[in-house]
Amino acid sequence: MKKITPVGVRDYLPHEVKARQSIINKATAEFKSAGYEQVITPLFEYWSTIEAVCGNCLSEQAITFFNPKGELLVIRPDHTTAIARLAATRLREEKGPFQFYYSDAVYRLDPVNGETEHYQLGVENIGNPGVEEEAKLIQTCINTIKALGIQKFSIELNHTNELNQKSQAEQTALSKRDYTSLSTLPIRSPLSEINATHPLNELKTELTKLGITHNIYLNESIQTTTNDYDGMFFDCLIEGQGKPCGAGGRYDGLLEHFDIKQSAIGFALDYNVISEALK
Amino acid sequence: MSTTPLTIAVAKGYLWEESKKVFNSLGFEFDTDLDKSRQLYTTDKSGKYRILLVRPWDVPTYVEEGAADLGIVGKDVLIEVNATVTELSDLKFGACSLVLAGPEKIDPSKIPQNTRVATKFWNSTIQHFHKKGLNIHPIKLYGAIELAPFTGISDYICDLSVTGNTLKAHDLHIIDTIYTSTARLIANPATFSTKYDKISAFNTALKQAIS
Repeated sequence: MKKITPVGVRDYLPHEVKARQSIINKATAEFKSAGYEQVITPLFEYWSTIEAVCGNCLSEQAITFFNPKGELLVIRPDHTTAIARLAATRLREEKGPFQFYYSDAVYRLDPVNGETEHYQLGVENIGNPGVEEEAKLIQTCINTIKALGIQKFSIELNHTNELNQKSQAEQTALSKRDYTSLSTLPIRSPLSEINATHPLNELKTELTKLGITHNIYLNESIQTTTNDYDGMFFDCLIEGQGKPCGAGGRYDGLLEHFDIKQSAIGFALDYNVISEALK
Repeated sequence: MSTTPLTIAVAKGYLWEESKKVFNSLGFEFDTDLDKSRQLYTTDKSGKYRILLVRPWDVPTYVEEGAADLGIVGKDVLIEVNATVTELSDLKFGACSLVLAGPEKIDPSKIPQNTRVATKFWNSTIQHFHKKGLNIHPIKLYGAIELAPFTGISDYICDLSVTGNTLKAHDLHIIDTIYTSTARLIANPATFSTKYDKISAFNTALKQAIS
């Protein structure tokens, strides 16, 4: 009999539960005040639902299993796909837009640690959000991080149109983070330096209207974490942390997998990175 | 921005010797002579840089986990460990090749399925043969790989070679070259962004120093 947990999951003792709950409460209070309502989706789904949507990026990390009927199931590797399914099926006849938040764990196969739990706090805005909503999404992300007591952070923005304009060789080098093959390092510049022809210029205008200009950068080294981003996307970084504490963006194609032509935006924060930063 | 030093994990051994020359030409002066001390880290007197001296295989781990902002390590190690790190530039020094070698010089396409190949570079070797549609029987060894065919543990070996002299001394012939490698400057993808100005300035200075 093994008397320990698998390496990728953990227990929370009472004081750890309190610490976690305090972070969750602060974050979800921000989500609620920005107009998001909580939804809960199941721990596991049919693999075919998730596979069709989340693409290659997550399929290698998916923890799948067969049920007694021989159907392949998956422990949820992300929240966005499940929420897209929910919006496109259960709420098909209802009038959007929908603003949902979630606060729950996802489970992925890590090459080193095996089956690993990541607790995520995130939001989804479904129903053709515009640039104004994109700016509000970033505002919610920033407000949440500030509410958690983190001061030194940055939002690192990129845009798929900007990426797609580059040559195939450049795109490959960027996605592999192989800057030896590029002649220069990818650009990173403050929001104020985004010029009028850049696809992020409208977002810059909206962010400026909201009074949010600090800690936001255009950063061409930021990579999409799923195939579905279509428009702006971003990583949220905390100074001194070696991993992003959050990521988000626009995914216009996602709901099309469920035969609905609507765009959506969202972001997810990683509890582990945030709690590490708050130590 | 912050005044914390840029932490650079450097691979011990030959790459450290070459890196030292480059650091010296950039005017670095270290608190501790790492060659004479038992200490494994030191800080530049300007306070801008901290050097961690670690095993080559550990460099990507330090950088991936964010314990070091930057690393200097061979491409061979990067290919083998497949860590999530950003490669900033080719430092040109520390050139070597990963070669397939055996007791006879044969055409590599004649190697049959399930051949036993001894190597420390497990992933690179397996992938190399997979690309040719061949499964092999890999034998993991950590050193003295040249002994493997001689002792009958394996038919071939896959190992790094600089001059080919060690192979010759063991009557081994190079059959195929899997890749050539040089030292690379790598960065943690997140700190590459949060310390962008410092890191890009250091990258430029380093490139100028080696050219």
